[in-house]
Amino acid sequence: MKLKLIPFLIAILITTVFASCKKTVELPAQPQNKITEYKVVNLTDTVIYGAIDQIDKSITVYVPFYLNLTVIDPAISVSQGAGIVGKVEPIPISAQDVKYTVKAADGSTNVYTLKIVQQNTPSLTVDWSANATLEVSPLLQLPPIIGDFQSRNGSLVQVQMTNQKSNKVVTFPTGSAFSLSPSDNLYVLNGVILPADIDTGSYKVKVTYLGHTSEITRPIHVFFQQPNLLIPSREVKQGGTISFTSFNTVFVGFKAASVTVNGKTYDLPIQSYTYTDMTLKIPDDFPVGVYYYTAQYSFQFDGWDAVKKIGALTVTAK
Amino acid sequence: MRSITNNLTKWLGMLTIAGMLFSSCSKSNNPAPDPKTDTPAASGSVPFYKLQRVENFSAPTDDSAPTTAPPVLYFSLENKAQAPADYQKTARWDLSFSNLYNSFIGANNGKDATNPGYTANGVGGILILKQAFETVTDVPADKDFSTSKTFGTDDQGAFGEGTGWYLYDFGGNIRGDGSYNKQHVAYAMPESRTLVVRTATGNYAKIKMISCYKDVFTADKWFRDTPHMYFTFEYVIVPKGSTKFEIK
Repeated sequence: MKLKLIPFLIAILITTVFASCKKTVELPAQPQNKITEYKVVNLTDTVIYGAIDQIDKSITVYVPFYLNLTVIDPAISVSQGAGIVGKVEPIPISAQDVKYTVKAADGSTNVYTLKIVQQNTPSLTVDWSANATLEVSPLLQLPPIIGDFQSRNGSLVQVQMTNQKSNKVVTFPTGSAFSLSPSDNLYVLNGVILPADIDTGSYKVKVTYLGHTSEITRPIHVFFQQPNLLIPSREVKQGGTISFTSFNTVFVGFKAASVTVNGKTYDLPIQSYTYTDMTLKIPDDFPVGVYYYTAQYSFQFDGWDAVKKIGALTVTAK
Repeated sequence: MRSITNNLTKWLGMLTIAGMLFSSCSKSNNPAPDPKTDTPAASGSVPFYKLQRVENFSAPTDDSAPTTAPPVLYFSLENKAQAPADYQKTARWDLSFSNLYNSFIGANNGKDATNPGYTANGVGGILILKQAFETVTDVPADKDFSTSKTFGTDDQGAFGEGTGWYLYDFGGNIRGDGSYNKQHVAYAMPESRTLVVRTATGNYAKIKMISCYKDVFTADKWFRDTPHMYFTFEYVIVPKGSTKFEIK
């Protein structure tokens, strides 16, 4: 009896084995709306891969400070047949709200959030460079600032100057054309040019870089200096206007201008002026002529020496 | 009897294991790898082999400070559009317009420390040929392209810096009639100069610089007070690896 049962059991087993071999398990179709690769390509001979989290739909990109990146330019791979909605553009590394929508061929979408993590220096200490003269005038550069910036990326530096009397703040935002150059084990910041309209007085200077802020202990003094201007050649009709621009200084207390030609002096009424520009009227009765570097200009500024210049002036009839 | 039972037990064991193996092997429960589509970083919209024309690409100027270098401007040949300054360290531009009146033209290269695109992924270069655009048919060898040079004023005019794409007529008596209005005119020289550029992504373009004056494209209409700098130029791009410039 046992011996008859055994072939029966074997037959059942073999049937089971074959049946299992034919078994197919249908899985639900995978949605084809994923970002499959994210890499930053605006680097020489290398890339930075973003870490893609398909659960919380995020991409994390770590940006080391020493790569001096201000923007990241991504190359993105998506599921077959899918595409990114909208253009993929370079992104400032400070951006926090970037999202990518992937649209599959079947119309389904996925939205990924980009997280940029800046891997920055541990601290920042800054000071004026040795032997710096702590006096400066509008439109001129601050003295060099030395610090442990550890990179050449001057465009990530922000500088703030606070007037110690009025507390008025002048901000030079990131993205300014500052330069950072190595000096021994430190870096020197240059190119911080004062605006024309900065008030005179004593200022505290604060530098922000890669998430750290450091204030320079010694203040700097901002003062006006003798106004000066360049006199390019000008051609104008009688009764018309001519303009001049300041040269490394600002116009303060501007009160009168005149020009002497053929031994006669003509007042040039001020039409308008700013710290950097002046517009003057040529009198209606100004003699027509070409005064090729024989026009003797004189500019009066309250409290300053008169500025005398010789220039080329051509005056034509109305 | 015992030996038969033992043998049967062994067979049963072996068959069970085999069955499990077969069944596990055959199940199609491994999802297929996710196929993908690449979105290139700097995909250009300009087709190859088609003549393109750009009119009045504008550079702000300040005639009262002619020697002060203005901010560099960037232009993408691949997209036929200006690129923002923020894109300087990317391969999203192919031409830089720098220096005097933004008139010196360079390429985008990430490996040259003197290039504005240094540290990024641009592979561009530039050269200038003393030929008219139409006669330039061969793509020059890669070794002939410069990653650091920029081309602007030609030695035939004032303040020339070697071979350039325009002639600066300071006194108005080189190309002009010597009159006041013909002084300080910049003459593009499409009849004898062609810029050749390797783009930031490695394609090739030849460029005919036509004018730097607004809305006027012939020398007879260029005067000292004609609004400038408005660059007008034509170009064609051929793909990486090409040996000929063709317009189809």
